[in-house]
Amino acid sequence: MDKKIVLRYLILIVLPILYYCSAHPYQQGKRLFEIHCQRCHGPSLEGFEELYPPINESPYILQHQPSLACIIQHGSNFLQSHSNSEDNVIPMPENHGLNAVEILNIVNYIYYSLDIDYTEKITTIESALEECKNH
Amino acid sequence: MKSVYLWSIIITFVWGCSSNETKHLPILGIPTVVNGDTIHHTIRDFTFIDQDSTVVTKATFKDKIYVSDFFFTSCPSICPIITREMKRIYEIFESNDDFMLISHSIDTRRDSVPVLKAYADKLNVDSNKWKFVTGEKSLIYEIANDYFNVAYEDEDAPGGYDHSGKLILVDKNGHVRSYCEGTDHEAVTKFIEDIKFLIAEQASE
Repeated sequence: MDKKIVLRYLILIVLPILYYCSAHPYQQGKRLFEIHCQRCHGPSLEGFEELYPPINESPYILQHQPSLACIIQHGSNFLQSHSNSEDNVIPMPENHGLNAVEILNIVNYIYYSLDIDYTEKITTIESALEECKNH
Repeated sequence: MKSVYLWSIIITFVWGCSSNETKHLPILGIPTVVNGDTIHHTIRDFTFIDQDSTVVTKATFKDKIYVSDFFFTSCPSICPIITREMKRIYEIFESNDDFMLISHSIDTRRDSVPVLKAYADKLNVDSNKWKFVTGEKSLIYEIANDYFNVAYEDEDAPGGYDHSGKLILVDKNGHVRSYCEGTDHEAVTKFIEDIKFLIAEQASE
């Protein structure tokens, strides 16, 4: 076969793959976010009324706190013991089914989708989760 | 001759599409026949308590068109989506005095009056317009069937309860006239058109 044609086909195949990969580095994080977070906090992380707080204004995110992982894992059980808020009318559920890597991917997807130039490391997430194991 | 055929087809099509289709919302549910009279499916009488601790009965909805759903405040699955859609409906008909909403909590253990009150307040809704009710569990689960919904306790379900998320439109006579899946944004948009239609229909009666 003509080399030129082979090259052309190769480009046709490779380019979309490259585009797809560069378009979204946190595919798993996005998917997990849609399953576990989006229904309450909204697709743009804007929250809903006063029922579900906006994630985009959370100090945990603005200050890049690794304990964000603990909120995702333990929900209100963690928040209650680490904030002065008495308000627990609509508790945030726990997500014990998520492992450290999945939580890392959610955290990094949140930063990515909020245009925050910060990525968390797996070691940081693991030690944060170890520390808040018992809230 | 050919062109006559062609034209007749075109005209039939145009005529057929533009003909005034009169919309009608049927009375839904299985009717019963008593002594030769057809009795349409009607929402049974009820007595519940709302977020202000006031008693809510069928009389509360006298001369009102209302939308009904079933939920619980700590529900992590479909409720957040349905509540968003219910709020959308609320905002559209906020100033219409002939229209109300009622949300029944199926978690009668946790959703006490103060919890329902906090929930409604956080949603920023007027308690005269949108009732969040609790009551005897069996009565709430039974009336769910009148509203074409099912609700039951299920340890394996997220939050401990399983229920369907249908929004039900009830007319001034307690008849169900339309419904939709509360999780389907497009379906709710169509449902809102049905509400507008029913409000217009019942205002002229």
